[in-house]
Amino acid sequence: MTKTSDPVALNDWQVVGNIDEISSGKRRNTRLLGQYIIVEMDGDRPRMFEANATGGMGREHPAQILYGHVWTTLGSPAKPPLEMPEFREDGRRLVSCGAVTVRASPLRIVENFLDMSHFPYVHTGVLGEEPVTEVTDYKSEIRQPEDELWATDCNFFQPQAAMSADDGQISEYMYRVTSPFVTVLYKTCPVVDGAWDLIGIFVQPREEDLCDVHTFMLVIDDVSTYVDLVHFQHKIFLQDRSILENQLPVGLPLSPKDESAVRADGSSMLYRRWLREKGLRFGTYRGGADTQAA
Amino acid sequence: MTDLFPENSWYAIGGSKMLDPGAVSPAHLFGEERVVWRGEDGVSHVWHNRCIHRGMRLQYGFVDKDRLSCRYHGWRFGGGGKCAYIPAHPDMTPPGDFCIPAYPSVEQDGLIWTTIAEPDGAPPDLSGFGNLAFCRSIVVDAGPDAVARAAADLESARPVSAGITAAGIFPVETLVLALQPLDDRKSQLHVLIAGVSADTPATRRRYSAWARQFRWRVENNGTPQSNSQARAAS
Amino acid sequence: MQLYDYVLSGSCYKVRLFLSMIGREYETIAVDYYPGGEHKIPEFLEINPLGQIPVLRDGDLTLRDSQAILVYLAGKYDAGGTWYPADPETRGQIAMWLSFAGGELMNSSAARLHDMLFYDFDIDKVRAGARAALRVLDDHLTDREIDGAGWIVGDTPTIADIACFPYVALSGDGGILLDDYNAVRRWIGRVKKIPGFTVMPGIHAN
Repeated sequence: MTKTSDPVALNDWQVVGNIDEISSGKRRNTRLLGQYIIVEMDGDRPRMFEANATGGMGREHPAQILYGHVWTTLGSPAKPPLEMPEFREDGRRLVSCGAVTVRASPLRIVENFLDMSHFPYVHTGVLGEEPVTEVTDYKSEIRQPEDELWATDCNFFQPQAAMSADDGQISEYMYRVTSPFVTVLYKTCPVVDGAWDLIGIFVQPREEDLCDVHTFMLVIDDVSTYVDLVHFQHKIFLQDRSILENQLPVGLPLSPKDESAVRADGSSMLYRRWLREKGLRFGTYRGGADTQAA
Repeated sequence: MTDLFPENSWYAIGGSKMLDPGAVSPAHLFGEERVVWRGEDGVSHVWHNRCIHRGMRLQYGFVDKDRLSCRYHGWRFGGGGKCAYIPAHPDMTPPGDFCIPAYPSVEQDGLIWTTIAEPDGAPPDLSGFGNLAFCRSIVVDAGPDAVARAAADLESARPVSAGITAAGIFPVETLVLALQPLDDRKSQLHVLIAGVSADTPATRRRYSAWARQFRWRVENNGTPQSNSQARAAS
Repeated sequence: MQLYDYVLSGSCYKVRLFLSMIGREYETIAVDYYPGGEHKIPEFLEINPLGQIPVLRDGDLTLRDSQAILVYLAGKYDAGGTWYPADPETRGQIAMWLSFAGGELMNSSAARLHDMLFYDFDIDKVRAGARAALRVLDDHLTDREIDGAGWIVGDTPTIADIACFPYVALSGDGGILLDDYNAVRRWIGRVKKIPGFTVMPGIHAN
């Protein structure tokens, strides 16, 4: 595909790399919303250019570094990237887990991140296990004026909730979606009572069905090694990948009648409604051959 | 679909003995995706390969007694594709319209058969062949018309019904080929043997080797060699 | 016993899987394979000059290469002698398939690394190579089923099955579907029923 014409997708900030990777002199040649781009550091300033027809640097777009990643936009966003005040707190470790490529719609990836019902089946023995499969009622809302989706009062019993967890526990979660492709979850920190650990994904949509998922964690854990934390996250995400690459249709259907839902799918249904109201088209199912009617 | 492969015919999608209780398998037919699975009760089912919840391919699911469970959220589906249990809400009876589309399917003559559209009658009757044994299935990277033509060109080949050809390759047995059109560019052949010694490993090995040779010839665009060459090569 | 390991490595998984099936304990030394590239730094090259994982340390012995590690573990710890039987005919056949696992089948690993972690491979070439290898395995397993057997070599599982299993079962990660390989899928189902079977991301338990 060529660069999308979808203004909702264009007028937004997306991540296109992490700073470890794009250090001075090293370029990342990649793609965003169908547009080939070049990302590089100019000293400590990130820069993004559209790649022109010969692969050279074309038009430049705004870029900034936040939370260890390079953010850019192909349009004119109405709001800045998400605010995470926890990032400035003492005692927290920022763990950038690197990017993983997934052949799926960015919207399917974000929706999977919001879902708890799959824990016993996809992350068996870690985030959930039969027979404790019930998803109790939780709250989902769109918060204004921030225009962010929040799901709160989420609870789930987990055999091994985090790298730092010794035992099973009931984890409490909050989920936050700040733009169609950016989501963070807050979960009970096993180490410090009352604190939250943060895990998030910054989805870089290369094409409508191909994404680089940049994952980070902001945790209170001074026991686990960096490598153990990264491997734990890789394990969880790669379990999801084999599901994401096998969902039909590829594009996310936004109409409520397209797929069957239950109460546990509250955040997913709200996410779809929110995207519908924004008028987003990129990554959505718009009819056609990639599903089969009964 | 073409004249050779009418919409309302039955098509074989695999050998019955090749699908154990508890097994789940994908099945493709004219570019459409199906899932075929067998419950612990021994009954096989052919359904649409997609969970109605979040679109997960059911071929990656698992069998729980006489139900198929989707891999993503563990939704259980039973007879007729009806949703029987949703783990996120264990005390809830799933809505009656939560149902996977199920297709007509029958097991007959050692094969599992299904259809694309409303079937016209029963699957082809192969009982006349006597002592019919399943040999193997083989995928050929060639469209169904090309494979059907190659089958029709075999020595003493004769059509039995849509997609079914019989031929006498080796002196003693009769070869029966059931063609499953996977899509425009790929086909699967289910190879059966009829005859007194049809069901011995030696006979089945001989026809398995023949099937590999046939696949090679069709994929390499050769017209089938004469059968003496085929016999010499196997 | 120590295993230099990465949770997403199919080759490391061969060793993890076999150790689980023969019930041996070991210590994991996690290597920052991705994104760190720790397996390529000088300190790791002292452990394995090829810059690859897995590496096994057992006492004074250091072994690289997942196939070599399986040969050692079976010889040393399999009291029943079924995983790597001593007779020359069986050993010859097992060696054939260990070579295949480290050879032709690695096309599947390459496709997976390309599709997941940005490795630079000719993706069409490696996928074609993987499909050709899967077809060879599928034809072989079809004929073994005709003979009434369910394993790559012999009548019970051997290290040939363990060596081939990961990159066959993970081929979907590299865009290679197993839909065309019926006998391979049935074999995968059998491997999953071996006592001590354990999963890795991308492989389901049943």
